[in-house]
Amino acid sequence: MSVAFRLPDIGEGVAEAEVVRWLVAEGEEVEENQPVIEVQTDKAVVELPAPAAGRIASLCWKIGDVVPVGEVLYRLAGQEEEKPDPPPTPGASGGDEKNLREATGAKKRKRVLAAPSTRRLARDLGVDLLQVEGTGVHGRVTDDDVRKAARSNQLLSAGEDGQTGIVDAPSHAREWVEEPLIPTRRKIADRLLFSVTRKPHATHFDELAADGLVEWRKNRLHDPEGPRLTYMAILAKLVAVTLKHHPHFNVHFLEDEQKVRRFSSVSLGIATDTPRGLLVPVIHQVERKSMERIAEELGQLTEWAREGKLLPKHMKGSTFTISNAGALGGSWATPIINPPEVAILAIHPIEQKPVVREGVLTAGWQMNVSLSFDHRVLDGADAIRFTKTLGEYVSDPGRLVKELV
Amino acid sequence: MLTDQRQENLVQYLLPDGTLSGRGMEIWTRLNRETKLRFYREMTLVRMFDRRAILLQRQGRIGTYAPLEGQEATQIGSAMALKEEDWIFPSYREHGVAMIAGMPIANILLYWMGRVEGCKPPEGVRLLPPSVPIATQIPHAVGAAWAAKLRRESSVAVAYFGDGATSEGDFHEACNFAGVFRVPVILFCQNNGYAISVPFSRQSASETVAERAAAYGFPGVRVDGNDVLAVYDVMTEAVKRARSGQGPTLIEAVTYRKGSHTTADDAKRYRPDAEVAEWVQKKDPLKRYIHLLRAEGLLNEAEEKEWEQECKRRIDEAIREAESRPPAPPTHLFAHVYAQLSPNERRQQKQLEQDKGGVG
Repeated sequence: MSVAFRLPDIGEGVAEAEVVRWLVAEGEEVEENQPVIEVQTDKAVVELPAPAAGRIASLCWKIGDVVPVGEVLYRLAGQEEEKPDPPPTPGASGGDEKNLREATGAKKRKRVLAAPSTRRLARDLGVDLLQVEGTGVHGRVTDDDVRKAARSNQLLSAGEDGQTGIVDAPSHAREWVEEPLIPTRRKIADRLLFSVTRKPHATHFDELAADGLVEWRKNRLHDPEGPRLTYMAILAKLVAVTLKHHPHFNVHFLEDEQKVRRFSSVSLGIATDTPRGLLVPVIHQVERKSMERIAEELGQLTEWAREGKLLPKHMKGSTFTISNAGALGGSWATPIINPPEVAILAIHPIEQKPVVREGVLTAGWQMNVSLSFDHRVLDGADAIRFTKTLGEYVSDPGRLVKELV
Repeated sequence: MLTDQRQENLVQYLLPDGTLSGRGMEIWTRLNRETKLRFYREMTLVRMFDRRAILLQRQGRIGTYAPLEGQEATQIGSAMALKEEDWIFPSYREHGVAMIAGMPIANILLYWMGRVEGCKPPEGVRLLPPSVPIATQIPHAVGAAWAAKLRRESSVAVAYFGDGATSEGDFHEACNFAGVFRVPVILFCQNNGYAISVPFSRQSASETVAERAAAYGFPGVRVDGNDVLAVYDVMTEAVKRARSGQGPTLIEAVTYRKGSHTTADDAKRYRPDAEVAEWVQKKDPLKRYIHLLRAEGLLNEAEEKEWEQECKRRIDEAIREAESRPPAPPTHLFAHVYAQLSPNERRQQKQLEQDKGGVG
């Protein structure tokens, strides 16, 4: 006999939570109050402890799944065989509603965004808000949407009466699947929307000669001690040094106060592709850290990012962001700035290309970069100067020695 | 936060390292062995209860819960200075106060399960239901104190509230009334530094809560809320003043909650790690008191273990008892909020009964 552990409402009125990770495996014995699963609501990441000791009979969801409150998260085969189910959530309804839900297959409640006055209008006009597609911000249903829906309802019923008019699509033709955005993706969506609607973006492309960088790294790789120097770690350092020369790129733009806040230290956000979407872990004080140290931190952060272990604090406080497009390929991009920053640098693959060096056609290592900037506070000339400085370091990382103090 | 400047006027007898100040020694010799041990026992019980309640919430066995860990000394120290005849008007975090007042642990859990029994103390216990709306209980306490004064009774009333409540109109109205009518009330503020996520520096332009009492014409005292002896002594003094007709006292107990505002909150998002570590590791109210008891030879490790076992047994029993009750039916919503339902609520009640047959 097993006990079903249902996802409780762990916040106040939380409707769903995302599975961050399982802390146990199927078949594993757990103690009472031992954490079993980590879930993320829109407010917090929390561990859910086992209600009793026993063996984990089955885990019902995968990492990244969004689970509605009340659904079975896992089953626990008890040591005691008396209780069929843990006591239900206070205030939650019992069997009737559960059966109803299962019978109708209505697993997820759809939340409709609409102002109270709009809801009232819908009631007055006999319109079901669930059936209305909202055209307002974030899909909010507006008064116009409701009126439009009311009109088309009228048309439809008129058609039925007069046996003419619009033919409704057959109800079985459901050849699509709708999936709600997971909380992380929703957050990304909001930030990107804010950035592209508020920040006038311009992007500067540049092709940098990277022979020096490739050569220099090759020499460093012979060093058997210390962590492996990745291109990303070296480039993070080079970008930090470049930012020292171009401090107006290392700023936040404060929208409300129309001010820029310039930082003396560089905190680099590293946009990272993970199964949960784009995450941006941050490395602080890059200008003061050795490349080995940066490589080490970067390794740890990207590992955490991929495993879903990054905490909000690991993603806070960046002053400039690098998007590493290199791993996946591509030539150019128009990256979107991570607000409140004012610029973002996309780094593309280091590739051998035909180049003309001192009048001779030859093969050279080249690296493309795309630098998007907030045109309110920076100009194209600034961007050109920035990638030019970066290019000097990329072609000859040995120049870093000159920066030593 | 305790800046040096504010620290000067802070009453503190038991230092964070577990040693007594000069004045602390004096107080210590005046207390009997039973009281000294009780501070420890009650603080331990409520801390263990608190940790367990968070687990119960994560298991879906109780609803949203407001954790108190870190504030044991403010609650146990102050409540132990009261008598049975005194009226208590708590906020939602006062589980320790409720226990001292005589509320069974099972009933405290029932409150967080949404059952009305959680609001009803046993006969003779003058503990009001927790006020979730901020500061509304403060004028109530002043009213109760005024009633006691008019009836020439010797009881006092205490309002418990947080730093956030001191920004509400209710707080100021209550202070003003209490001052003008010199009622036997104690306004007990547990300043844990944050009103949910708003730090005290964004809450108030005055340095402290206590200094506001001066404007209303009664004393304000600032006490180390993590020092159970100081809280107990300051509260005893305030109760004595109130009972002898000298009027109200505002007490600001400076403390810190170890965890989040409620189980629906994530304090990591707004409190610096270093600050939390400072309070949790260096200023823990229970740790420092255990240190003192051990140094004084009043407690050893075996006795501690034994008491913790006893606490666990009591908490387990309370959970069993609370969970043996049927879950709160949604119709309670209509039965216990308004004396008389509005037509709108009557309609909703009817609808609910039709939909669900009236039971959850």
